[in-house]
Amino acid sequence: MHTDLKFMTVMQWMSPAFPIGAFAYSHGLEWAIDKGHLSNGKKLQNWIADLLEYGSLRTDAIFISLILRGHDAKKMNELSIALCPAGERLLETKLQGSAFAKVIEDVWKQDIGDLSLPIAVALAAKKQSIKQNLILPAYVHAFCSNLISAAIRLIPIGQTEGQRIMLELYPTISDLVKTASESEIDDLNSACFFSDVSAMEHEYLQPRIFKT
Amino acid sequence: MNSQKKSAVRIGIGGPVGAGKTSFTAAVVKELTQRFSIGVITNDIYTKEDAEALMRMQILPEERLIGVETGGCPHTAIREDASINLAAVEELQRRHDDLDLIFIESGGDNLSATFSPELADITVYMIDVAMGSDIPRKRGPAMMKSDILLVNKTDLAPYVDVDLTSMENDLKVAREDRPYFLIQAKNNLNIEKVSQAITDLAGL
Repeated sequence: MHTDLKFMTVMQWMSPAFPIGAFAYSHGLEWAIDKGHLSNGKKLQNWIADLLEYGSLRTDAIFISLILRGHDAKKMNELSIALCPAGERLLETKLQGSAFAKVIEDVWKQDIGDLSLPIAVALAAKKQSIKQNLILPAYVHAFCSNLISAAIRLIPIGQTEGQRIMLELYPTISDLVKTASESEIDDLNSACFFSDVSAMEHEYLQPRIFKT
Repeated sequence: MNSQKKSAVRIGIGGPVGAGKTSFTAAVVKELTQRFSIGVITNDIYTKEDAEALMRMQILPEERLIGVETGGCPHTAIREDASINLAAVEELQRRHDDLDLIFIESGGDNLSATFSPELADITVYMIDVAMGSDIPRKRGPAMMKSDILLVNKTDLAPYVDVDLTSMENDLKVAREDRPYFLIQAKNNLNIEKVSQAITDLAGL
């Protein structure tokens, strides 16, 4: 039987054990939960599904696809930074992007520079000849999984419900992968205002356990 | 890290919530701040309160302090994924290229929490007598392997039924040849000795 080493690379990069500090970022969830906007599993699931269909996750996925289809990483990075809707969104993507790049440089010996997280991941994938059909669903899955894990620490929902939510998000993730792989620069847009506002409001949240 | 810049020695300070890590950091920084360029990173779980406490005590100016939130995972942030702390280290060194020492205070640990060697060059672990005299007998990696072990609040021993002599005997067994100190961070007791031990280990 043939083992797909590219699949293992993607598993390693997108694992919660890959040290980019993802556990410290809630993407604005902490504020929304603190204010009572996300009080159960169903609401959490809808919130993440919206991010996939209309928000930051859709944008990230399109950027990854654009890089893998040959768009310039530097230009795409500038655009992805410019499209961050809140200061903490910028912090989140830049710090995780640099941490990701550092491990790629130290372990895979490839210099990808200081980039936002989706651009860093896409460029590393490109250099390793990893195809969209592997990295796109893996990136989006890992992002959703991290949001669920953050929410489990904040809303009283259990680990099993968290896994159920993840499973139920599969069709939305799958739709996004298809959309992203067919999107162009002009398709980059976002309409998840409440999530964006949550990220802004989080800057002033006290006490807080998440960086964002 | 930028290779042209001097690399500060990083000291990780771990220990259970309430052991007195912030008071100790304040005392030791006060002791050393005249001779060395110092930065502090705190990993308080809930607020930037520790960093602000150090600022209020006027021990360090704001630009030498960074408070890091750990998403409710204080052990992960110093051990298996220290990237958010490493970014804070880099930021402090970017602000001050002459830093000799960076103290990294953890957000409160159990007895098995240790610092990643990628994050801390020297590790200090702290308990206090009010946690009970059996703590040294529980051992755990932090207790056994830290470079320096501190037992804080020794003045409370008579009030919490702790016999310091027998606690010290247990410590000697747990620590083998590694150093430990009985201190009172709030009363500055033995802080000078600990500071000396830290700078000796740091080669300063």
